[in-house]
Amino acid sequence: MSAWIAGALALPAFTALSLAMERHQDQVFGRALSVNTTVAWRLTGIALLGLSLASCLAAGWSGAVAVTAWVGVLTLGAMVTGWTLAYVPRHLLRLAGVSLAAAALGFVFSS
Amino acid sequence: MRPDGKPEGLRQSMSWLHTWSGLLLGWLLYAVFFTGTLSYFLDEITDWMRPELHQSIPGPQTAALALATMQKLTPDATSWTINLPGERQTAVEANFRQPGAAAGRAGNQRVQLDAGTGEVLQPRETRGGSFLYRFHFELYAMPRVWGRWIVGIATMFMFVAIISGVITHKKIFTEFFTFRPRKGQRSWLDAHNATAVLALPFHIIITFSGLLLLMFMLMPWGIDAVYNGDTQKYFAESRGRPAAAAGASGERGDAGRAGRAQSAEPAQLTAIAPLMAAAQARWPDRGVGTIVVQRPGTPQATIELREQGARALVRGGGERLLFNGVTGAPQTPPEARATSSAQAVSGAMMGIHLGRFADPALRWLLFLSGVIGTVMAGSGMVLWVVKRLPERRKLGRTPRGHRLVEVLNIAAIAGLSVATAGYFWANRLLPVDIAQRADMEIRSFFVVWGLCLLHAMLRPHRRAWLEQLWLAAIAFAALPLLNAATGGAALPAAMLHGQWSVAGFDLVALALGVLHGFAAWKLGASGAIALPQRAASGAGMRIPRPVAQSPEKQQ
Amino acid sequence: MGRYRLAVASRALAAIGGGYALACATAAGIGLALARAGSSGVDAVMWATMLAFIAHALAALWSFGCANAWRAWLGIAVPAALLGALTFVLRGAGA
Repeated sequence: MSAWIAGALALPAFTALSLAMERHQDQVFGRALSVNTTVAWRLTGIALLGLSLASCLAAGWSGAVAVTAWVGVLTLGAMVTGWTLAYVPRHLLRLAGVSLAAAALGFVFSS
Repeated sequence: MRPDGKPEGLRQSMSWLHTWSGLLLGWLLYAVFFTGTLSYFLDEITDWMRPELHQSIPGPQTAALALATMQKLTPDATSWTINLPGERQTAVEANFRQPGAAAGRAGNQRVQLDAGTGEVLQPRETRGGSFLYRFHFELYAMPRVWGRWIVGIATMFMFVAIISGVITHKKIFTEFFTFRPRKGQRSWLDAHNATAVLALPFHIIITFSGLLLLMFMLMPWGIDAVYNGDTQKYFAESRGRPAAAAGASGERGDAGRAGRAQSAEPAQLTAIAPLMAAAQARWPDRGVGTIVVQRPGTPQATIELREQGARALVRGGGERLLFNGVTGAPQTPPEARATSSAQAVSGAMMGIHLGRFADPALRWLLFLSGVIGTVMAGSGMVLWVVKRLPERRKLGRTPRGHRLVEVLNIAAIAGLSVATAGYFWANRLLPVDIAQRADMEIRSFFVVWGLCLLHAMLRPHRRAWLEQLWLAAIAFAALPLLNAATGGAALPAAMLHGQWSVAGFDLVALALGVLHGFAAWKLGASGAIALPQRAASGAGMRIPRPVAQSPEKQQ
Repeated sequence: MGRYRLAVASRALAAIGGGYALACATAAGIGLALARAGSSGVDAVMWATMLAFIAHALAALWSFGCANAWRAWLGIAVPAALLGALTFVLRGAGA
């Protein structure tokens, strides 16, 4: 379960990080965002990455396996983010939102 | 490096190095990546390739039935190691050692048992997924050492290519999520960059640990210096047995020791069901993976239950429960050997590479990363060709070197897919009882691969790509049908019975068919690239239109 | 073009052959140094071998990244010689 939660967090994490870059802000919002908003997105992304790692560590694996699983999950999340930005950038936030909700639900039901 | 000898910056020189260290052995590295990625599922592949085992459907009585069969079959064995079915195999794999058998793998004997009935099954002779696994680091048809040296050298080239690639990719952060489709060379570069960066930790660890896995052959000088050449002493110490103890244990989890004849009155082995229940309660997620019985039928018998998969990456990391074989009383298992930091670091890296003990979720992530790496290697080589199209157009003809790369690209990338599908087709189409069946299957693989090379040499560039990609697509997609038609468990039935090794193979085969078909379709839809294959004859020659090729070819 | 090819060949030889020699010297020299300094034999060998592979890769990067082929050889041969000497000394000392 924790692995799935970690995976579901990776997509919103990378969405947030991508939205801290002007190039992708243009793609998703049609314009660049203010400096404060950019920093906010970056911090959110880092926080979600951290949560994702914590989720893997809580999954009952040894340290090395947990980190490996986390990196694997990140690969998947980054890939989906990249694809979405390339083909359907306007849907990125929606997709990330659904993923985040799924992670939250997963967390609620697992504890 | 510049032909005119002028000085250049670090990024430029690293770009040159990256191109050549990547390209020169790129076709071999692609095959190594491809077969390696498939090897994460080698057990499942071997299962699919033995349809005689597909009738085996696991149930609650599997352990008891298996032990009963072993009792009938080899009551005098010194040890039984019974690998229970799970996500990775559908039948029971029972290993046993007779008294006086040789140490290590040579003394091990193996039978396959039906998980539902306990009877012995006779699967067809095949190397299964092991062929692909062995090819991955030993190649084929040459002395093992040569194959390993070649792959080892290629691995160092790969390592250099990765590092030089990272140095030269100055926009590694800003272009992290950047992929621009339908833009020709730009798209290919984006694909190559994306697949490289997204799984970069994996690529680095896989490559470096690949070197470590071959270190005793590639770089034995550390042992030579520190141990004065006494490799046995090194191995003994690294296993935590300072007293020189031989008896190398088998590779795949079999713990039998060459038996000394124990003079003992026969003693009945205790019932397995309560032990299984206790273990199941302790490991609710994974269950019992392996049952090891030492000295069955004697008063000294012990039963060890091992958890399915493992919690750690290194061998023996999973939990074990030890019981007295006659009374069923729990015993404390021997202390796990403490590992040093050097062994922990290298062991973790090698553990990720091998993925021997990964649970399904982790195994799929490793597989995904392997696929990404395979695409990275392939896209790099295609990029080399695409990048040089403008200069070829200016030149009006194709230099021999470029044509060589083109042909090898098709054969090494699309051709390898066709050959792999061919291997699976041969597995089902070759008669069950022909001589040297396993070798014939492998020969089919190479024959098909060779034909693909020939095809690539004879057909026009784009046609060759299209035809081989479509062939691979159809060959893979039809595998589930072939499976059902030639005695295997059909996909719906396999899914229903929880035979995920067989079902998973069929599903991945379908996915591979779809991917190859998608790539072929994209290539076909992207318009013609008429490239002059021979020297231009002057006036009247049509100048080709530059049109983008398919943006992302996936494996 | 001839000079270019010669330079490439020279640097390639330095990277591949010289690099391997450097790696061997690293494995032996660093291994012995760690062992004499108190590491267990297994640890010394593992760390030294890992460093050896890294050294080989760095040698290749240096060989093609530095300004000319002479520097390439120098930058690989000198450390190799030093580590080789270290190996020789330590081997005699500890044996």
